[in-house]
Amino acid sequence: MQNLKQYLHNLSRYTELKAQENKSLVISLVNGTVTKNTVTKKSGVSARVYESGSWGFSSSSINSHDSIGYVIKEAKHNAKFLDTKLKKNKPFFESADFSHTINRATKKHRYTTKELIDFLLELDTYIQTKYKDLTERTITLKALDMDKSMLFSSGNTLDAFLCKTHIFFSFSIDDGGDVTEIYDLVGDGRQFEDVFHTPEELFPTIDELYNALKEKSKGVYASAGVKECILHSNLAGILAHEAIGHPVEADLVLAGSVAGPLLNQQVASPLISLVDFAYDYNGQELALPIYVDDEGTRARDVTIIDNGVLKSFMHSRESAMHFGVSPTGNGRAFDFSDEPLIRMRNTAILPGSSQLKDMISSVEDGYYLVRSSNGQADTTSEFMFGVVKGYEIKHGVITQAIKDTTISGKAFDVLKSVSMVSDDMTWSCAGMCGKKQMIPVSMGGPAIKCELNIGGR
Amino acid sequence: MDAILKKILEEFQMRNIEDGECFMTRDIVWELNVSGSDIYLLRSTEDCKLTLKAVMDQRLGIVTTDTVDQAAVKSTIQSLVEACESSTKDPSYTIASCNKAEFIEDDTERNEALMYESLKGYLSTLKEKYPLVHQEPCIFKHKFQEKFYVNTKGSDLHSVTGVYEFLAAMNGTDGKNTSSMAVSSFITKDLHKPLIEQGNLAYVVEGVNKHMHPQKINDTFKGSLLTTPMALHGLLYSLMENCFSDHAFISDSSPLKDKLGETVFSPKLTLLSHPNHDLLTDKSLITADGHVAEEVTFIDKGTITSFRLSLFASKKTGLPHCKNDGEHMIVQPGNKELNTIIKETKRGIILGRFSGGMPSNNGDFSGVAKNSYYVEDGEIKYPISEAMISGNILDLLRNIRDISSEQVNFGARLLPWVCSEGITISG
Repeated sequence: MQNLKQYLHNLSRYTELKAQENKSLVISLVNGTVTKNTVTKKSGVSARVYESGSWGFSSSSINSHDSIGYVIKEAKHNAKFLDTKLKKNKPFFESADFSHTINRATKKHRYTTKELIDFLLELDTYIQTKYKDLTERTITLKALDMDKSMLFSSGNTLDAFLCKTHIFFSFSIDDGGDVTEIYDLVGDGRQFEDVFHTPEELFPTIDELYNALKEKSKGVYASAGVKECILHSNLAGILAHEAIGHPVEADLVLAGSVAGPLLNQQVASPLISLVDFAYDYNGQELALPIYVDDEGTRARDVTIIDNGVLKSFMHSRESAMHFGVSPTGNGRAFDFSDEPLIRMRNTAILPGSSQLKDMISSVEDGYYLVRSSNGQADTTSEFMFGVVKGYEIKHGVITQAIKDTTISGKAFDVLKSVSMVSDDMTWSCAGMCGKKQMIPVSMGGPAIKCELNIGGR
Repeated sequence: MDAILKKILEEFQMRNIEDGECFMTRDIVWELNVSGSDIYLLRSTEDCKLTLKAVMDQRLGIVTTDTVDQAAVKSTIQSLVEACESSTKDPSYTIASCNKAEFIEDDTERNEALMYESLKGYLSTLKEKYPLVHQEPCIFKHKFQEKFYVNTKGSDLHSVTGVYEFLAAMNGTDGKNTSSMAVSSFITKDLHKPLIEQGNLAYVVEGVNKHMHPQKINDTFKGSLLTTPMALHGLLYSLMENCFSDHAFISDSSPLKDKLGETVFSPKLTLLSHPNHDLLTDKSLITADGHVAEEVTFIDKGTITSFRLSLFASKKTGLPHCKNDGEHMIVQPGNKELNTIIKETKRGIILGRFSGGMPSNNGDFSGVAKNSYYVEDGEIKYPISEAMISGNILDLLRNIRDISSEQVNFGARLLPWVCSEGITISG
């Protein structure tokens, strides 16, 4: 964290000044070989200036007094360059006055890289010893620290140290020439020492993954078409993020997202409420707590869907001004060299009252989908995500595992088809969202029963 | 820069690092951003990146930082030594042997005024001819890059490049109907040619207009998949990652691992990567493992002629080393025009963009066909919505019916249309 207040007099009427260091550690073991042992530090300073509707941005990987002066000057120059040509004559934003400091760094003694590799090697030895029929075992540790200090023209500041750590397991098995693979992950929005304690505590995750792989290797292809599905609570978050979250980001609304004309209309089953949380849920601080966003806005929860009715979009300062609402604190940037864009934070469907076992037994012919891979959204509200772990449901009973598939649908159609929502809640912050810049996001939700289009044979 | 590289090599020597290498890049970017139909942001960035790699006592360490100054060299190398000490031993860890070369492109500087006018020209064309098309975002930038590679074996590689990169994600909306998002990107040095005439931009813009009124396919069938050049790149990328790459071989998961020299694909398919092709604007002259990049043919008339293995993976597996990172893909054209291929299609789709889960190691994939068209009895019938396709990438490339004589030049890739049979398509 860095004190930038000495530069306040250098700032124009609207400037965001940032000094940031992102540090990422990736250690990967593939069949016992360390194939990646990389520490990456990306640090520098940047400034973004607003001039009557035009923006100028400048960044430098040198963090020094001179380079801070340079990026402020360049950002002003860039904004002026555009303003002179474009003359949009838009008003300035209201000032902000809320400062915040948050530090999620561990207070425990830090592991050395050797100790981390030894931790992973113990996991690898367990897998190799117990599960000799695997053709591939990959264990990857990914740790990300983001240390950011910001100063805004109003004089308010943000000092934030956020982090996340995950261990990914990926297994493959060759069953008579047909290779099947599966993956799972564990982790949280904290540093390694606060998330993981002993290798042994991860052995049950490994055992469960191996068993799921064996089931999947004998599994069947899903049959293509629209099916009744139970989405495990793991998947509700990605549904919230891809299906609804992106179409209600205000910049995509302005670009023509189908969500645009639907404010205050019933867009989903009354069982569905969806919120993009700023920093806490039920009194617990979330994995990616955003108290002040990268535009200096005091962040607040955004109730996107309330009992099936679309209530709000997610906003930056500029989009909020356009729509005549207050900004929501969704302006986020990843690296020092990134400008803020409208991004999600901790997006979740709220739990209901059904029990998962009742939901499964209510499906005559459908699927229970448990773990996703990547996902993507569209302005048409079509979305898709890959499913790497799932099962057939026949006559209310889980039967065979299915091979990898993709599900898709139109967001509001799918949400209108929701007929049951479970009473539990799962959060995950492993994901990175891509939209010009990659950025960490957190997602959550309960189990959901709905209708989806499944890709199959 | 030279002083820092010299300091790094001196420090390697002082620390008895016999196998040490250093990649240093300096990127200067000047970038115009569009939202909707207006330029709204000018972004200028300067970034230095230093990646140090060392192999000490058969242990590997890699450190990447953007603190590139003489004062930081000692502490960065200390981190590197600690990374090595923490690693496990593997006799396959190594660095490149001695290579010396310099590549300095002509014309690496940016023309800001012409860039601005080019972009304004493109936006004016959109406003006039395609008023319902919205960009979100459209990014037009100049990227100057200077790259250095040195190592303890005496290697000294240096390249200087400067290109313009264009990327636009767009959709069409008339207030009631909205098309799917479509993407176009290319790399160019030619600002005198209108942007809309470059890459596949015109095709994509026109397609966005048509896709505001798509129709559903009402059944499930097996048919032809005519993959556009943009979509082909995505499929080939997955093929390379799952079947030709380091990870695929070290994890022993490549389904093609025993097939070097064998004809496993259609004899119509030839796939190569050329780092310095006359027709390609973008050059990639130094590989990630410190070699002068060479032209490599991966698939020659259906026969696998090379995998994409780094020096490490090559030593690990005993298979040949590939001095090419696989970025500049060229698929050789066929001898049939696109129109003829369409006329000969009984039933299938033209795939504009694939949106799906990551394909499996064995090549299985399923996903949504975006920006795509339904073809029946030799005619393009209508743009389609929500169609799922599933199949296997390896089968797709085995069952090639035709490859078009036309190619699209994206600046870093030169790709045709490829028509394959046997894909499951469901509405």
